[in-house]
Amino acid sequence: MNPKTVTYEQLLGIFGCLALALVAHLGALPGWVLMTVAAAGGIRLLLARRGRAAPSRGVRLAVAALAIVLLFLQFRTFNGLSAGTALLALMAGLKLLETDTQRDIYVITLIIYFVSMAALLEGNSFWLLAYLIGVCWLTTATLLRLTGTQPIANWRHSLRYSGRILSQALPLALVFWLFFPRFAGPLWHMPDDGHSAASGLSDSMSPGDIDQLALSDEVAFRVRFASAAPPPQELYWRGPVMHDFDGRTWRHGYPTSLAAPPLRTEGPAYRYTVSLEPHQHNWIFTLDWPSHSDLPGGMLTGDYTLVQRDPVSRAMDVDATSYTRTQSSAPLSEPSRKRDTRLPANRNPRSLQLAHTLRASHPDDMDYLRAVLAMFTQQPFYYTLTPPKLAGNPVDEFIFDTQRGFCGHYASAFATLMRAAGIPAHVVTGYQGGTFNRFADYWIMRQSDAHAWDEVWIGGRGWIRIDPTSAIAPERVERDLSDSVSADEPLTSRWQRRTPWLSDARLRLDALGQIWRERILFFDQDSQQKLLEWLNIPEPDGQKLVMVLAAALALVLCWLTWAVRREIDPSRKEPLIRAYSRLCAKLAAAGMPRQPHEGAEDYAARIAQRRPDLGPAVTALCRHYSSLRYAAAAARIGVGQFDAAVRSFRPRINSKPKA
Amino acid sequence: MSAAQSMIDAILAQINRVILGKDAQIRLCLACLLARGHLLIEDIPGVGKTTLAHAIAKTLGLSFQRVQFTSDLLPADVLGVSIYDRETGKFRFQRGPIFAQLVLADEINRASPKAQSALLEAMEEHQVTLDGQSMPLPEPFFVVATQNPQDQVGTFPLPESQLDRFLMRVHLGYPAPVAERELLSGVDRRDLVNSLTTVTTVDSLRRLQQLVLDVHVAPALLDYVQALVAHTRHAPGLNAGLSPRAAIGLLRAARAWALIVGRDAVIPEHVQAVFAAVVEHRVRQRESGPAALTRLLEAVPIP
Repeated sequence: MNPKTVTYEQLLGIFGCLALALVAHLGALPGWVLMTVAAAGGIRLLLARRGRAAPSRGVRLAVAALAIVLLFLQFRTFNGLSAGTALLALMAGLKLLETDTQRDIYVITLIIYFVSMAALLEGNSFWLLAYLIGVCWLTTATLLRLTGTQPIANWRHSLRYSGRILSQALPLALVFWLFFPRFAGPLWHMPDDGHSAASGLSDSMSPGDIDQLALSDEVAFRVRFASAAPPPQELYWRGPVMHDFDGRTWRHGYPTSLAAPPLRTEGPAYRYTVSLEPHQHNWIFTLDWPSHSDLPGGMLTGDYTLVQRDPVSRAMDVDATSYTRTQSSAPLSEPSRKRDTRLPANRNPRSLQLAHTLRASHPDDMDYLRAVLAMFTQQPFYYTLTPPKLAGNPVDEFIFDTQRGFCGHYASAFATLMRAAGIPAHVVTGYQGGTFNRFADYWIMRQSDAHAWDEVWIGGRGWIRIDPTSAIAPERVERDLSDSVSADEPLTSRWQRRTPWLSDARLRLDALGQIWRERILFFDQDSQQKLLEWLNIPEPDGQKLVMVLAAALALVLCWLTWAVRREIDPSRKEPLIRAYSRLCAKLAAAGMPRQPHEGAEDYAARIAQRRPDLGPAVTALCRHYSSLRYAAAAARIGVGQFDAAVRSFRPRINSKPKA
Repeated sequence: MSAAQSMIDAILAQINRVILGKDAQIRLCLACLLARGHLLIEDIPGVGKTTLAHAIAKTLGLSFQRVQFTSDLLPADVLGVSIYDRETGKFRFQRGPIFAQLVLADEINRASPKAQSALLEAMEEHQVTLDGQSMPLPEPFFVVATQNPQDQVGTFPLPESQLDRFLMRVHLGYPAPVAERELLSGVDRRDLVNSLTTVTTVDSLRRLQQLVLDVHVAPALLDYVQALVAHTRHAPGLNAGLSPRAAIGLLRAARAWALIVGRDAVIPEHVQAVFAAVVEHRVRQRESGPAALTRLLEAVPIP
């Protein structure tokens, strides 16, 4: 069999590697692309199994054309990350279909490396990288098995060998990572495609929004305090503030003031770093109440929410300072007062009625507020993650009928009752509590820590935070959410709570990810500048760095080439063999190349027959060589002599045409 | 020229007088003998196999026995038999024809496997064991077996394991026209063999065999032998590669060849010279013939 033809095992190996590389793109690739790749691979494997060649050229072209048309119909472009990756995956699959020779497999291997790299454009977690390194490792091993000499080594050997090859690339990767010029912004603009859904809180809140979040383990952000952290009951992380209420849904609405009114701060200042996960909104969660941040282009809105112009589409770190105790020094502006007391007229009539009754007996704002909170504690309100569905007048139904709800229900109901009494109030959404990672000293906020609370304007005191949920379930605020929900908490978290080592392990893993993020991902232009200064490299500029790197790389490659050639061909090492190779080269130039299997003396005899003029000289030289190379060690002197003789040997090139 | 060299030349010259135009084969036979290996000559009847064996025995001054293998040959016919001696009242061992320094086993593939294996065991062990009694064979002990090509009627082909006991297999082939003319016009070959004189003594033959072991083998040459052997093990077109015993045999034969051509070290050309004779009967080739072996040699570059 032609050794260049691929075998079933080789096809199977490369197909497996491609499948593993595509797993990293599972979320981003359309299902039909994956199915096409799987079908193409499956068909080719089946054909190989039966010892048949690839389908004919016509079939392949038709399938490829169809696939490209479908791809264009789906994305309307071939540019951009998603379309590009889909095209690459599709072409790899179709290449599999036409794979007949080893060369085809080399092409697929290259595509696999590329597809793996493309996955890093979509995500940058440590685990993704680890997985991709694994894929590359396996692919390299498969490639080695393809090109290795007979007989093929076992898998363990191949894996060890390819691991060695990959680890040899590590120093190079390290040098490039440290010294390749960084750019201030991303190198290219990632096209935002509609597939990437925003996660976490949104700019509106309906009852039931947050309880969906509560089941999610996904990390929203992490916080590291520069000094001591505030007590847990003060860990409110401010997100978007909801002003407009239509009787069911709270919305952010239009801002009434652009800049935050000044606050009179009390107590200690807390400095911290928020490491945000991308959430596709433009707000940044800060500790209640933020005073300033280092975010370039960031500003505090009139709601004391930190925002930036563009949505948070990449992981980012923000340093900020907050005070947990503040007082508003300026009076509430009239437009703000108007907005925060507005209620839809014909919704939730029973609640409005209740507010009027209560207000009649409690003319003072604080008294009224306490009375409403007392109602929540005294009546049988329950805190649950699975509240009953609410229909037309959700606040009414919640207060008077179901009395079961999540933080969103309580915040919404409380704000409604406040506004009904003419007290300015709004709903603040954000996160509360969080998990402290004692292994690395930072807090983790998961989506399950999402929370909603109220802020009420009390004349003379300004905005004060009221969390009605804490009136019902104080432990929800003081402790972790998964501690408070008992019957209806997610099974996984209950399981985790009962196995402390597991949650410990989880925290440790998270800490590892955090180190990855701080040390590797956020190694940016600034960090590089600092490193170069520390190394006393003056005035580094990108162009020079690239040139030095390229030159160094070229040198290393030259050296490697030389070393590998020397390794492959031992004749480059031994002077005797080098001299003999020179002799053979001279004779080959004279038109009489040596056959690889031809011994020196046979060669000399052949030359003597064809070129009697050279005969004696060549015979002597070859005889000399074979005695130097094969005779007993005592005769092994005169390599230099032989070398000199070869150097002075100049065969005259025979101009006569060959007989 | 050393004494060893002139002795070798005299031996070759004398045998060449009897077997005309087969210089290379005669050198191979002598190399086989000097390497202490057994020789298998395979060819159709009547090309001088027996004459060659005779000539060798005569020239080297070895005691010579000939066993004609037939289908009814018994092991005892080769090894010998114990006979009851009425006078002494004891069994007396009557030595068979194998107790000679050069045994010609003529047409070995005509005999039954049982008789064949009796001979082959003796070849391997250099002794005969009968009735629990071991008797050493004379030294040197050299078996020349002749064999008809196996497509002839009434033959028992030797199994591979037994073919392996022969260091070399040599084909004689038809003589060249010039040699054939001389054969036809000259004296009878059998008379010529009887008139041959002994060139060497058993002692000097042993010395020559000892000299073979002194021929130098450089590491570079071992590289080449190993490369050749490794290649036979996964070359396409071969069913079985060379065994380590075959590799040892190849090297030994190459040393003897080096001695015969007057060198004190083996060079790759010597290995190539004996390669076909040593290897051909040990590898099962899908296509037979010297061309396949040449290809095998050409596939392995000299390191």
